[in-house]
Amino acid sequence: MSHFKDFTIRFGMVIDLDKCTGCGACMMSCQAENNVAPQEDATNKLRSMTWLNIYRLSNGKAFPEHETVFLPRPCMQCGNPTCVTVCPVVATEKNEEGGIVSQVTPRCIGCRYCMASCPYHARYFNWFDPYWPGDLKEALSPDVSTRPRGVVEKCTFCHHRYMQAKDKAIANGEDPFDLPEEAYQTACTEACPNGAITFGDLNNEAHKVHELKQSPYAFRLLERLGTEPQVYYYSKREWVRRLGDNYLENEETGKPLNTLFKKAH
Amino acid sequence: MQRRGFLKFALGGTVGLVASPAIWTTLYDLAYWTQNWGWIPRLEKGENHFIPTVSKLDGTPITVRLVDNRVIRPLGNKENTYSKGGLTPLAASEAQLMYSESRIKRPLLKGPDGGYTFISWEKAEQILKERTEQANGSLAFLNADSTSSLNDIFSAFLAKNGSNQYYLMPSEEQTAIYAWLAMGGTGRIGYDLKNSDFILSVGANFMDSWGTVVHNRAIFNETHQIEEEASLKIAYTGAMQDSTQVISDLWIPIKPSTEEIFLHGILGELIRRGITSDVTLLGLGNQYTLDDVAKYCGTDTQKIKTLVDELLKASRPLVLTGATLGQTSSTTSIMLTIAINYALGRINQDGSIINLPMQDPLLPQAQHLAEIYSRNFVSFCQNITADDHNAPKLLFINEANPVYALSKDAQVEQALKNIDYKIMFATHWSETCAVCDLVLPAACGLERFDDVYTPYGSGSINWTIAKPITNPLFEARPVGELFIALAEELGINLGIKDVPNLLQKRAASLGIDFKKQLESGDTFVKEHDNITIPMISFMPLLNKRSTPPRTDIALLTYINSAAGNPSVGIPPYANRAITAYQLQDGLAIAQMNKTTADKLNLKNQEKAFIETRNGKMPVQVKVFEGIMNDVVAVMAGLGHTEFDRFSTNKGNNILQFTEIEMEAGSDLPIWTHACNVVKG
Repeated sequence: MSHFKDFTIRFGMVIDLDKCTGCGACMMSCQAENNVAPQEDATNKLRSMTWLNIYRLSNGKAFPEHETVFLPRPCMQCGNPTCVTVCPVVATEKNEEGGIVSQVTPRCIGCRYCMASCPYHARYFNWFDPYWPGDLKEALSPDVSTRPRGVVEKCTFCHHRYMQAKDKAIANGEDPFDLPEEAYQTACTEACPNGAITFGDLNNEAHKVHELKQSPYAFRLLERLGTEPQVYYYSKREWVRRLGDNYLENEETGKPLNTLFKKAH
Repeated sequence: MQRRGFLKFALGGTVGLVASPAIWTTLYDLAYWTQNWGWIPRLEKGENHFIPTVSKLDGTPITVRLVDNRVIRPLGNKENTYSKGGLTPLAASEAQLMYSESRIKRPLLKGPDGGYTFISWEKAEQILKERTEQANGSLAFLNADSTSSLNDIFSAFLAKNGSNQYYLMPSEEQTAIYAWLAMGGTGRIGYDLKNSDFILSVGANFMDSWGTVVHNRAIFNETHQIEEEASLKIAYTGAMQDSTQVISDLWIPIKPSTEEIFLHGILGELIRRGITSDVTLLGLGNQYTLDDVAKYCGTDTQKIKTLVDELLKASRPLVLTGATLGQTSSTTSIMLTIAINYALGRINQDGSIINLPMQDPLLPQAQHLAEIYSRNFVSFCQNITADDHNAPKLLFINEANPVYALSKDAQVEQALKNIDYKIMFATHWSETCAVCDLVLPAACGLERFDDVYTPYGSGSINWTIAKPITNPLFEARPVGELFIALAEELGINLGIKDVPNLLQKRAASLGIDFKKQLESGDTFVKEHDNITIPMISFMPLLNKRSTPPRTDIALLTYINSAAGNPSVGIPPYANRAITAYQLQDGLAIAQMNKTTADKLNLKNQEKAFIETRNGKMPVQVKVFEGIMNDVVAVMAGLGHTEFDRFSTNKGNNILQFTEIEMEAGSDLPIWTHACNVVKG
């Protein structure tokens, strides 16, 4: 387990699961924004690549008591990222102001230790040569390099947009480390037609996520592992929040947690 | 070693190394480990441009990002007052579809052996002209898009050639227009979701596949702000937990095909509560007891009573009806919906059913939407199949894919065989292209002038202009311009010189400045102005008794809107949005709950067949408890045999197996849900 490294700026998300309908607009935008190569058949989820995946959750009851919720899962950009410490070639780091876990694909040797260590299955191995048949490569964005097969990929919170926002702020004579909320938004946040994703600096009081993460309805996935995810989920339904972690029958959600690993600071 | 021996060894070694995969594998590995791979595309940088327009795939306003002149991708248009920046998965795929391998690149002519050869546009234009002249008025036209003003060009062209056989693909809009006009409405039926505080949706998945989806979602977003009390309540009766169900406050699952009975039940209960004193309405309220309604629909009486309580509590309730697969509602169910809204006093009010004005045609002899919808394409095909003397000599098809989208009951393929000559205008190579004689490459939505005018499900008159963001790829041409030129060749005056000229006429009819509208990329919205409530007649509903479903098991075909549509196939990125509960191991998934699976003696992941009178379709069973008893849900959009590698080899096409019946009275097609499920 790595040390918890705090940052002045920690970008994060609050995803309102009561508003998500699993339409997939976020997935489509993510792929187009980040030059993820299309696949002819992605039904085999062990061989497909989806930086942002949507899961259909169930309350486990039979009809008519059954309830369904859709859960979009980007990289959690953990405060204590388990993937970073296992990487033998330092291809993934959490070192930059903003708290985004990087993925330097030219450094990656494809050992997949990080995949094994990630409790959120947020990392994907690129099994196939990327291929944009016909003229599809015309639609490649100039912002994100394409990746070869044999490396691990993951969501970067559209890091290139953060760089662009900082550049713009500098060009305008503004403080690049005090960006207004709308200056930097991820592609999935922008695309969501339901407004289910709120993105911003978790540490910045002027950003909505700062307040939302403190809601009693906000929770994180597998929080007690101590990974300190920067992606929060939000649901007013108790059963949804319970699915976020392994609770004992008599435990309630929203209570202070005993993490397996304490923060180092 | 002697010199000769050495040379032999060296030569043998070289040949061996070159022939052996080892050297190539090593070179590959070297490139791999040194990161020196040349087989991944290099990025081309350039200047960014952002241009607002609208996606012609589903009417979503978008802003297209270009780098230099290269289209990169659509983004949501934050400045647009109608979508509020939202994006649908289909609109997000617009650029990929534009560059798709399945785009038709040059005109294709079918030869005597059934194969296609590329021909020049000059030759294609000559055939177009000759065939139109030879048809001598025996012409028909099928178009897929009811929202486009180009319909005026096509229908006027047809009329000036002596034919009124202009068709749109069957849709719920057709049944709604029929129902609304039959009951005394003077225009088109609109649904003002934006101003409602309680929406009861009887089967309409309005968050994914019914009405103006991106606008509906924007309304949902605005009324459901995180950490705030929702200002809109939603009740839903769909049989499965889908996009609308997961955000609804009240779910009353009813069996598909029982919507009419359910609506009778709601109306009856409202009347028992004394909501109306209208004599004709009173006569409609006692067709079913509440117990019967609950029995047929698979629900219980208390749930219906609770729903009626909620309707009466709301200050601006709105009831709307639709089918999960937006083609199957009957005119009776829409009439009953109108009757309920009327009983609640919810016609032409804020947040109610709106009598939207019907647009007048922009060109002389162009057909009125109601006139176009007075004919239906299913009957057209069935009549031609029954007697080929009914067949026109020439059929034009624009961007529609009836061979894929319509059930075998519609007999499309046989009907098309009976038509002498078929000319297809298509952006992508589809199942219908494959049965046409001449296939012409059409410019797609980002390559042409077009528009989106008040799609079905709107609560207001609205209009968004589509403009060419880039030149057409390959040899594609805008179909509207092509018909204007063809008309000129034939000595016909359509009254416009080009498509922008037509759009200027639309702007003038709405009283707005065309240029400003074009530049802004915004959606023009004209809210209803509390015009007089039309005289609603309930006579068409009298003596209409709905029949309970024919089979014990009901087939629910549903749409995953990310997975494309019949005209464009499955967009490349959409393959990741097709889930393991929709397609697995090359088989479409039939979802059902455990009670239903047990009843059918089926197990999870077992192979089975969906059986209708149109044949047996192989499926894999997946147990899902978010679906009501005796209902089997299968996703539409799979089973393509044409398009590209991203669309084909994916299960079977459930749309071919669904059953169609013609509704008594309206004579319009209704998609039934009759099916059996048997072990594979």
